[in-house]
Amino acid sequence: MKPPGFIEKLDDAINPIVVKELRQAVRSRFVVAVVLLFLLLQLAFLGIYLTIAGLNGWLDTIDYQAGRDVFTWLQVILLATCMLFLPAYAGARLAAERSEVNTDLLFITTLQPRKIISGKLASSVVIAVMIFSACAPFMAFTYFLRGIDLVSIFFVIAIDFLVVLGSVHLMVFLAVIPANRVLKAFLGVIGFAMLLFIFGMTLAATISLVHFGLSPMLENREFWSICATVVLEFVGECGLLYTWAVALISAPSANRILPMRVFMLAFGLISGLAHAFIAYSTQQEEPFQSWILFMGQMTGLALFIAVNERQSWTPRVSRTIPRNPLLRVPAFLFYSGAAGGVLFAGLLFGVMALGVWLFKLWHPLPVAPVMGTITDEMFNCMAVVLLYIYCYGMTAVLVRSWLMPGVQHVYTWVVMLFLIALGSLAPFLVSALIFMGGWNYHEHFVWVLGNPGFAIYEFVDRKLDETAYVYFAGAWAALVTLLNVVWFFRQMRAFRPFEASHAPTVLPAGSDSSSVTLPVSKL
Amino acid sequence: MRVNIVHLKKYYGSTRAVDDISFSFASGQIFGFVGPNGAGKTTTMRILATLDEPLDGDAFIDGISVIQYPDKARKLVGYVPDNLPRHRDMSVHEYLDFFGRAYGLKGGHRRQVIDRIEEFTNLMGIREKALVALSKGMAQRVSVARALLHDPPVLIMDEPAAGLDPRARIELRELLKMLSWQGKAVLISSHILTELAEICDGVVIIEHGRILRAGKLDRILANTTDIPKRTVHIRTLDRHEELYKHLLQTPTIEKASLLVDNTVEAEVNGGEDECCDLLAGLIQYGFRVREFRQRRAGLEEIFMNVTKGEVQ
Repeated sequence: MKPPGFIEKLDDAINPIVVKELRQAVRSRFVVAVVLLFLLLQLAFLGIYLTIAGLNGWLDTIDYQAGRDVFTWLQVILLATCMLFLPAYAGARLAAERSEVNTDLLFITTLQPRKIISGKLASSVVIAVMIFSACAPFMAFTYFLRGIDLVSIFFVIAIDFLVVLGSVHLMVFLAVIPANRVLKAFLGVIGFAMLLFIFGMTLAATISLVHFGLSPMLENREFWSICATVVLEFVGECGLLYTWAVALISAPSANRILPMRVFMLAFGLISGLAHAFIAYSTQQEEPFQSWILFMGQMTGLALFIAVNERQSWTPRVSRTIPRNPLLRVPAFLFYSGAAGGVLFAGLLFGVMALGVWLFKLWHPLPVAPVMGTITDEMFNCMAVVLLYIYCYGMTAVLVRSWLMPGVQHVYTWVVMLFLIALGSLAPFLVSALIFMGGWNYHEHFVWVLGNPGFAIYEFVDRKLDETAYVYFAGAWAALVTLLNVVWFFRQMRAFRPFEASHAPTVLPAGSDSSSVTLPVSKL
Repeated sequence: MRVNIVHLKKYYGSTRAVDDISFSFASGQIFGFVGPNGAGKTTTMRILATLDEPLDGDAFIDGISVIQYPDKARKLVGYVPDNLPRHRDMSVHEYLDFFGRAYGLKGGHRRQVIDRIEEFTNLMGIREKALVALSKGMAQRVSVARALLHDPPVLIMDEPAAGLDPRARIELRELLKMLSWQGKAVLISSHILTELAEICDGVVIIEHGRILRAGKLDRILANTTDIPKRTVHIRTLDRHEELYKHLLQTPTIEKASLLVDNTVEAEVNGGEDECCDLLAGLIQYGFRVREFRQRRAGLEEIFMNVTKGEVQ
């Protein structure tokens, strides 16, 4: 056999999912039709515009808006194709293939779940690159029609590409959510509505960017700080969607939460440093505040997910638990498990608190006494919201295990949502009935202490009775923590490495009445 | 190469899908896995294929635990599920090429392996055909080809014959025999018991997650009471009633009945010798025998006898 050449080595190195997806895309009449239609639309639009312009003599005069207008329309065609077709195509294909048997067949190959998801994403990126590269010459041509500079053209194309990438991540995530056909259709509708919303927002943002021109902004530090913050958050959101998708497609018996938690912690730390750096270099506090917001959301999500997780470990997971007790303690936070998940959320909150403290300590802003106030307020508000999520989550764990033992742990979130609705509305409705028309927030706010919405209102706007919310949520948190101590320590104790109880020996003739052993030699 | 299933348990809530089962089979054997729907066959097979995890017990493929070393174990297993490949916009060859890549086969070696397997499974003629356009029999062959790509010593097949036409069934049967000759250990579940009995070296009968019988068919038959071991169907040109009465008085006949087409069906207490003696006796008594057909009790009879057909 001939030694493999460069092309063959390259071919072998490509993710099999990418090869499969692209082969299917090339064979698909739908994809070919969309790409041809897209090119035809661009050509037709440009051709019609130039013909009309030529007939009316517009090309003889200088129109400073022509390039901008044509660019806008070409961008509409590009975004509509890439955002409404590409993510929907990737998501729909994956959702259709996410039948149990197809995923099973992939599991028993050497392909890892992360390779499956990255393959799906990469193949969409390749198709997007193809469409963008077909569109770029048309869009670059608008420069010659005037009204738009090349920097704006390529900047907008880059934004469009990132938005398409993010949308593909979103749709791939929605596609791997295990659901029946009805729920899948519902998720499809939600996904499509989200795509339409992102499409509209992107279009509005890029049109205004093109309208005001990009060149003057390039000198502005604030502009770059916004760009850097947005890109960081984009990376964070895509990373979260990716790790969630990987976790959802992984076998239930695997430690599927590990990549997600590693990503959350690593990204929390790295993005914290990056946001602080941007804040320092631009003398702006906002980039760091956006990090607090992002970390708060991640911590809240980590808590929300954690309460639904398993409370014991299957042999396949437990065989990977470290034997060294010193390693086992940190490992507890990174293994699928409810108690470990709650602790991990605590760790994320700790990172956020430490970040805020360090930022306030070291920030070199000239107006130090004033700066940091809004950061403090934002952190306090986020902390109280997280405290409420913790209280409701742990109460849901208690209610499910004490009152609804038949309900599986994966449905704790339903109990939690029910409790949030109950705790937020029931006392308020009761007090409204008691005081009838005389109800007002200033006098009767104690009745809505269970409502996290009012807590946010108090911290962000009113700022008079914040302590009441802190005491209430703090006392509640202490109580549910106390009541869940047994639940927590039971899981800690169960977190031990797997001990094999059966040796791989040849079976003797059956003596056990409940099982029949069959010595092969006797067949 | 031996596959040992040791005290395997898998519960879904209060349902005991697999309840402490143990059996083993080895290279070159085709092992039938029989049971009513919901008996625990698929669960056991999925555990063997490393797709599910048992609550307790373990399965060892060539001494490798499917729980402790699933990555190593899955390299030794080819799994053919009961669903068939139905990917859109994909040909048979592309499908196999994709799985070849997924199993880590590289370049020229991958192409060689795929060509060889396509030839072995008789897919050469349809390699460029779209998967969605395949008949059930063809799709089943593709499924088997996919499972053989990484040359696993163990093949686990869940209901491979379901919905196949007679030709496809015969082809599958021949394919399984060839695989067995090649030294592969095959565990196959099926509801088509007569066919299973023809190709299997042994069977495991399972119900409610528990093994009811396991072993070589003859041995199971010998150990199972209440099964008519041998039945004969006798047709004569005339004297049907007389034949029926004669058989009732014959000591080796346990039970006899006269059917509507004047055939007499009788259960013989004994084996080949007793049947020969019976035929000789009939001729001696002057019965003009135009048909004498004997049938041994098989897997169907054992299955019907040992299972209750209840669903958990």
